[in-house]
Amino acid sequence: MLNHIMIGSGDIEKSKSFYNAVLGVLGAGEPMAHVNDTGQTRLFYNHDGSTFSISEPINGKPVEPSNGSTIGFLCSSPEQVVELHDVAIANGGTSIEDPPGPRDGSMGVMHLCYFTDPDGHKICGIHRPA
Amino acid sequence: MFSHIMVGADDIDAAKKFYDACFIALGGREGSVDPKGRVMYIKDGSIFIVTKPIDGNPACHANGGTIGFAVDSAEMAEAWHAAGLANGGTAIEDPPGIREGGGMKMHLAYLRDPAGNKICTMMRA
Repeated sequence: MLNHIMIGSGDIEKSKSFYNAVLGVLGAGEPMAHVNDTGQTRLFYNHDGSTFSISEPINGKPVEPSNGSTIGFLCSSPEQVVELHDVAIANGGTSIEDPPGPRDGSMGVMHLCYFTDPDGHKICGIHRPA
Repeated sequence: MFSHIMVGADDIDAAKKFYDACFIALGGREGSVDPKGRVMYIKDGSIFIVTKPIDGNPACHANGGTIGFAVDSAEMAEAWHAAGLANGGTAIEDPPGIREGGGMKMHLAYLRDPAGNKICTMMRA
């Protein structure tokens, strides 16, 4: 369903250092960098058939995170959920909501962690029971 | 890589009408409303959710962010764009069509949903 998700960055180098560490936990490699025709630098992380992209806003205005939005990254184990969170916090992210751990849901126990990235985007790591 | 993507909206009914039409154009189904009043769409192994912000503040869209949906054909992208426009969406950027740049040729179509979230379809052409 999802081809890609793009988020805004106010500092591409800072975002790159953060997401290289965080997405590295999931096994993603270095991003491809590209400068578009209007001069904005973008990073593209291609992993598992989809693309996560970071861009300077094309309208030249400051980045604003959305209120209400979350990007959920799939983790391969409950341990990886905790690792994703801890690596994010060690690299400039901010822990939010309950600490990483299991939550009872309608589909069984899920392991979740929540943090915001250096620009304030809300990110979730999730492991669902098989 | 993605488990899900959640977007904020203050008017969940308007969002459901819009995304129902968009997902049906992509070959998906109408969304289901969960006990928390969130609308969920499940397609091709990923989940798209529309929610009111849990902090009680108004929803606001991002600046710099876009969610890109996969399509099978240019016709599907154009049907998605038309369905969105007819159901409360707003056309932004260039009209749906082929763009070339960075050595790639892509078919793109852009909309804002009724809450202002920026979305697109993308297909290598």
